[in-house]
Amino acid sequence: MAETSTEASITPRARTALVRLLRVAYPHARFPDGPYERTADEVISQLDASLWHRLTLTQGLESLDAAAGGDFASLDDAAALILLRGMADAEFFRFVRGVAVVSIYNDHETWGLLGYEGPSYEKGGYIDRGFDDLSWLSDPRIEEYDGPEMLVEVATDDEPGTGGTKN
Amino acid sequence: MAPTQHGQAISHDDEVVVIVGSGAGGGTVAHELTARGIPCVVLEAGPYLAPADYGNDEWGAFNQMAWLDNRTASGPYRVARDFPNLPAWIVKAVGGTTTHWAGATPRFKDYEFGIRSYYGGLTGANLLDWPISLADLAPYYDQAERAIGSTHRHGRPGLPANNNYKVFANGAEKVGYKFYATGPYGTNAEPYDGRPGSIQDGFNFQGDKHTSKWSTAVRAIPRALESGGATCDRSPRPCRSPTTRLAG
Repeated sequence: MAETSTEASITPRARTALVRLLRVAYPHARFPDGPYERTADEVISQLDASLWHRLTLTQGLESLDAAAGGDFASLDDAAALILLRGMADAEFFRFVRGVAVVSIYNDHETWGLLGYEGPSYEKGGYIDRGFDDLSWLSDPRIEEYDGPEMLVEVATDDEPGTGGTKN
Repeated sequence: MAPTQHGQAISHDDEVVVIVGSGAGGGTVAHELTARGIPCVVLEAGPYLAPADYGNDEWGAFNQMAWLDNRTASGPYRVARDFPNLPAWIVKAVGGTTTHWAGATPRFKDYEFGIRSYYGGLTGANLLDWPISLADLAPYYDQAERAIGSTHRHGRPGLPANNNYKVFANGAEKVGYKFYATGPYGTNAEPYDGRPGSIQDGFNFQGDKHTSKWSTAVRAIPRALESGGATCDRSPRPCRSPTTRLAG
């Protein structure tokens, strides 16, 4: 990764740990590395200018290696997950999650892999493209019920004056 | 950034009604007043987004129209732990959150006007019953449902069953539920009030590009502006100096 003034404190090793963290925290076997790498870069790009913020992430990522006994990125999924669960409330991890949960699933490469079709308006919506194509159930009523039963809005026990905690 | 203005210019010397916000309340009031010849200026903190500006992109829409000002959250609930600064998904744009709103238009139940009667006796809570009943509101619900175009109401058809509905309705029937339907919803199943029926594009919360869903951005505000009686004004700071000024 190119070292720039704004990313100077994020070393390639720390970025590798971050990519690995993201795959363990948001595990999708079918995702290639691209979405995780782009999400890591989004996390890094959203670091604000404060030294404190930058140190928090850097030290948090370095602490992963320490907790892993040397190299977090080399842990298997199960061991990495146990380690991450132990630091779920760490400030750096909360920041990473706040960015990642909305970035990783907005990466368009993940959409098709998850079965999400994306924009539909230009294709005329779904009205003629399967919005009602489910055929293993009978077609249900769409109108409101107009039979003999009356809607009971409040259970008898919950009517005021019938005890419980009511005044 | 200078405010953008929409609608006819109104002289500083003219008396007008100034409305803060162009959402469900402000937009509707602007329409009703201008329809009666009362000029209005609507101050709106966000931009004037048109249906053509809406996108079929969930996160893109959030960044386009949500109230992005930093939120602070505290206390024991999970949002405070996981996303303490994530802005709430309410809309800062002409139309307010009617653009993001799902469109469900149920009426309140009668007992919901009797909060103290039904939920009273909670230590430390000072609940009150409303001084009005559901019957008092019924004529206004009628007006609103006609303005919105609620399905299943006043002779309008319901939306068709989609796949999700087929599953839930069949399940509801099997466990003995009777009171289910595909509405009422504020989305046209067929053309109504100058707006088309839904094409089921699946993007309701991001602003309905097809304008089948009612919002003040697609109905009340354009009509208020066309009436010649409203101005809509926008400025970059929320509340104190709005970004859009609508006059009519």
